[in-house]
Amino acid sequence: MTAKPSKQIYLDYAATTPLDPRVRERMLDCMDADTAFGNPSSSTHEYGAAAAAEIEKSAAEVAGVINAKSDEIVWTSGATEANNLAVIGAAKFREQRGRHVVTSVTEHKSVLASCASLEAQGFEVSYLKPDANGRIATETLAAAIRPDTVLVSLMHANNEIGVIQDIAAAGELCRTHDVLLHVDAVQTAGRVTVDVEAQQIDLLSLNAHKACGPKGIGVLYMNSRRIRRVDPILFGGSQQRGLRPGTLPTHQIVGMGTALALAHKEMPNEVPRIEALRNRLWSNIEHVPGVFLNGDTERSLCSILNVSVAAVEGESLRYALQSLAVASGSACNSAIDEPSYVLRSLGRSDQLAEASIRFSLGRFTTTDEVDAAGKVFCEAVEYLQAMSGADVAAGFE
Amino acid sequence: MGYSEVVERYFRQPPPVFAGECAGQAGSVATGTWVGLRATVREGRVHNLGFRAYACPHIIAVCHWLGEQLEGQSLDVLSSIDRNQLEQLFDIPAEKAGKLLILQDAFTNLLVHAQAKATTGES
Repeated sequence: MTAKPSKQIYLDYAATTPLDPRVRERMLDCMDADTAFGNPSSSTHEYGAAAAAEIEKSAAEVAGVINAKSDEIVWTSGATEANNLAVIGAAKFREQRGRHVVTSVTEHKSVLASCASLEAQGFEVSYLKPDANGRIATETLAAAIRPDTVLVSLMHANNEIGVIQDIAAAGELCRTHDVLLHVDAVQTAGRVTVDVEAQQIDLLSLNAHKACGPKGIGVLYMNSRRIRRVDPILFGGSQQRGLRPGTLPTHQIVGMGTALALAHKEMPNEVPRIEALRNRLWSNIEHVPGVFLNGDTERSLCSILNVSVAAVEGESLRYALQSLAVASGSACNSAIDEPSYVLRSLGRSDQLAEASIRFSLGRFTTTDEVDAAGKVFCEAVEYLQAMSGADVAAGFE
Repeated sequence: MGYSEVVERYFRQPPPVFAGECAGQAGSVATGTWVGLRATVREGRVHNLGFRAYACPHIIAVCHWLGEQLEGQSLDVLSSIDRNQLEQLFDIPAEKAGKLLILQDAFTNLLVHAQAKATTGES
């Protein structure tokens, strides 16, 4: 088996991405003493006004990516906060109409934990289960909506397996029942078209760092025709109409606007390039007995390949793949020694869920890296399967 | 989780030959750790100790190391695998004590099998 190398191949773009140098340059422009370093709320002087102008421009850039309006953009510290604000804020603001929320068991923990918080406050939450490919059927969602449902929260694409949900169908259904639809689109911005008007989305969470932008900045889109406001979850200022108080970080916001605009602009070339690399990686490893693809090949993100391996112990698999920067399950779960709840919900056994690897590719991934990763993976799996003594070809699982 | 240099060194060794006439195993895939041992016993001594393991890197490394250490040793040594020594040598975290117990059980079962074969005169 190949020895541990000095530098890993980075294939964990679904966890975070490297900062694009073009984004970095724009951010640095806002940090110098003679540019837009001022407090954007201090509109009485030119430093503050310059910062405010940069933020307005960035809001327009983000809004343009999702077909929204600039004043529908609320800046947050990231997608976790945006998801918290959307789920808790919207449900609480609408609780006079009902106290029922619908989501799925495969959501990010920032949504699931928000739902748990609502349950502790007396709300009821219905957790939808996906089919074996990770998709929530529209009929399943329709059956879960009740007269007292105030909010549906679904991911656009799952962060572990990359499966894309039919958000337009969910949007139509929710609009018919006058239920708010929140979409966590963190994985899809710059990879899949997001159109809040066409898909009838009321609330949408985004961040920058999944799209080669900076960490520490996110957005909650709020449809101004459908929602007057949500209950804030932070207090102490009038910024952003009190929805999300706190001094706005101009350089982060500019980084997010630039990153999302670049990702959107480059989608026509980048998506097919990354998809070809993803397919190349799968073709490099699918011949190994006992390697299973997790998710839906027909409707998944171009950038994510999630596989499970039979007859291999998960910790040893991760250890044998030290030359690759990859995730087991989601990055948020990698520090926890338990099988992925997403893969378990798809019906994978504990063994297969534990011995799962998520490869996620991005802007700077090369063909050479993909080929090297495939070779390392095959060697590691073949070694560990031989070590376990299992007859994988005979169907060990 | 961090791993010591000695784990790195032994983990990456090729799977050993697994063909001796005496066998012992313990654990299961379902519980996350399974170890199978095979060895040849001649004149009361252990030879060609081989293993198969569905196990974490620590246990795989320990199995490789024990294969080296036990070559030519008296059969009785199989009953005295020292968990504390292994924990220290391989820097094994306390929460993996259960995995080491499974390893110990596999060696105990190997010893029992070898003694039974010796008693019955089975070749």
